[in-house]
Amino acid sequence: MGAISVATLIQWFAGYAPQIIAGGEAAIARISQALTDSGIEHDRATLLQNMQEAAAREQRNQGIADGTVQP
Amino acid sequence: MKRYVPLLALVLLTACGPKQYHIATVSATGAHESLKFAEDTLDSTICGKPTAPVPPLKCTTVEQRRELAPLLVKAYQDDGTAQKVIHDWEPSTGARPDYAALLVQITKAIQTIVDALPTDAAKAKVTAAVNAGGK
Repeated sequence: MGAISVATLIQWFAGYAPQIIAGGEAAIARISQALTDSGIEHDRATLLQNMQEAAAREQRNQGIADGTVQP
Repeated sequence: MKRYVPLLALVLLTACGPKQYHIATVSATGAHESLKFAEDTLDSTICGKPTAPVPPLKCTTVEQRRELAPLLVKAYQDDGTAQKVIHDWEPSTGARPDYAALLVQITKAIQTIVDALPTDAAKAKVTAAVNAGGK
């Protein structure tokens, strides 16, 4: 990882992520689990779940943008 | 705990292989969960919902929410791409995944959502928290 990646990670950990998720217990639980668990296969399972969630939310927001989904 | 996390990130970044993979996973998961939470917070302020701010505080209109939807579509596309880039990464090859720019775009989207939150109190709370972070 280059300098940008390091800066981005620090930004996430020191700035946005811990604050914006404050109060989001489910989010905190998932990040905490990601912090403590080890093993590439477990990480890949987490990433796969993230991909599926991102796709579902992308689709929902496309529907909101199109007017076919009520926000 | 919060003040030690950047140090933890740096320490882990100096490691190689599985640890680099793990810290990339944590970073991408942090971005993903933060984006979700920002969206959920925005949706909780939509006028008419039980969780929406009550007058005289402003709420988010359906039209305002609809205007933000394309931004969220793009943000979740970037999110999904970042997750996939890391998911498909094989640390043993020595190659490095290129996902930093995607996380920066997600960060900008989150900031836009925060800016769109309807109450000054909510904005001030988040802004103060972000500014306090890392100090």
